[in-house]
Amino acid sequence: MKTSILVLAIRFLGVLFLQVVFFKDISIASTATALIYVWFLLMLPLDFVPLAGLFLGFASGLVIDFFLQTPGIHAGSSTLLMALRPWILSGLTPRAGYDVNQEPTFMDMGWPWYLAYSFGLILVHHLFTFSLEILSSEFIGLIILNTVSSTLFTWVCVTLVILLTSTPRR
Amino acid sequence: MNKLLLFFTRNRVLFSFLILEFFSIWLVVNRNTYQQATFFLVSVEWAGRIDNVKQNVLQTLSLKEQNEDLMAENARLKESLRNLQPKMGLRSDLPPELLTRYYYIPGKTINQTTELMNNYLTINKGSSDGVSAGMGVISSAGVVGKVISASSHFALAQSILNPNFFIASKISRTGIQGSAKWDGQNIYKSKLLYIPRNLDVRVGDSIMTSGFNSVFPEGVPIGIVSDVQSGEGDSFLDITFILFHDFKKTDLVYTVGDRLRIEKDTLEIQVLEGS
Repeated sequence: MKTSILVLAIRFLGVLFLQVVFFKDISIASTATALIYVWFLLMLPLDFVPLAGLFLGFASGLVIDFFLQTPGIHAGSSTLLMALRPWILSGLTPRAGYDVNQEPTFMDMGWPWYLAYSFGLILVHHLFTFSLEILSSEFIGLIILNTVSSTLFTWVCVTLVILLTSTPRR
Repeated sequence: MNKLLLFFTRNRVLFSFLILEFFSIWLVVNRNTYQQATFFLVSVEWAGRIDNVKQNVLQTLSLKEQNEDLMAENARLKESLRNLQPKMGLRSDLPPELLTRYYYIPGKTINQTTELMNNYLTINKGSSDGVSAGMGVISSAGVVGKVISASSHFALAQSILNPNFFIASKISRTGIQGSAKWDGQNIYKSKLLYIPRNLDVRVGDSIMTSGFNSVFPEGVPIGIVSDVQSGEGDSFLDITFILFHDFKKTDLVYTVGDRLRIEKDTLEIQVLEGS
């Protein structure tokens, strides 16, 4: 089943609303923040064209930047995420290959595949985000602390969102 | 030529990635430039509208009234204090434009970040209320930040929790001059820089603005010294102080306007360019 442009648009508006209205103010101990919008990028169809993905990542990052008032930061890290996604997808290809009906969720792909996929991409995305934000090697400890704690937080939130919105398609 | 074109089309994903990434990083690195100012100018208006609606939903009716009463009360007190100062015999020979040099625009923080490295706050007063870029933001407790961009109904201010923001300050007991700058560690504490090791700074000394740059008037409280260490190897003291303004509690702020700022800045620019 193909994910239509309308579904993508609704998903993006939903995740933008969540990010800007709720998750903007939620942080655990001033270090962990959930960048829930990566859910949108992670859930793009498995066969999404890489070039289109790059531009979509950049554009959605820029919209997030616009509302969080962080010019360039989320655009940069989302572009990186979308550049790495085809690469990690091909690295994780199951023996039987991907099925067109499958979604990148733990329901469709199983936990080991999902953990490697989501955790890997979220970690790289967050590392890049916090490095760009702090932009100084002086605070390398802070960058790592923020990245690791926020990766865990985002991962839990993304998994919960998948649990609430996705159904097994196999 | 064909080979070159083929090379680019084959690697179009890589080249698109590099171009987009380059553009993003360029946006990030060019802090405080023209492009950033325009980005903020458009962004602050829209983000401000959303925050305003959100704030109104969150705030219960009674709290809102209470805040408004307090705000009016504070503005009245500031006004009467300003009028009292000349009557107390202090510098009563000064012309009136000097006595009422600074004016205060009460407003409210409708959005702020504290968990980032470069923190900002949005105020619900904009250029139509007289707020403009470069004005200082204070609360009844102390210094809060500096306006960097104002749209017609909102203003975006750089918070004191921002390592790019230096405040010309002094220690009130001795008058020693320094520069206050946040180090990104703790939202309740900041650092006072460039005070030579041989000078006398004690725990408990209060720090206030020196009024050297025209952002803040002289004597606005900033914080109180909590720790004095001799810095590692260099010739300056390592001074930590507790900020008076509590970002988690207070949302009533005043934007400070300086009636003589243009005059002062014009003079300084003329002299500096002439020399």
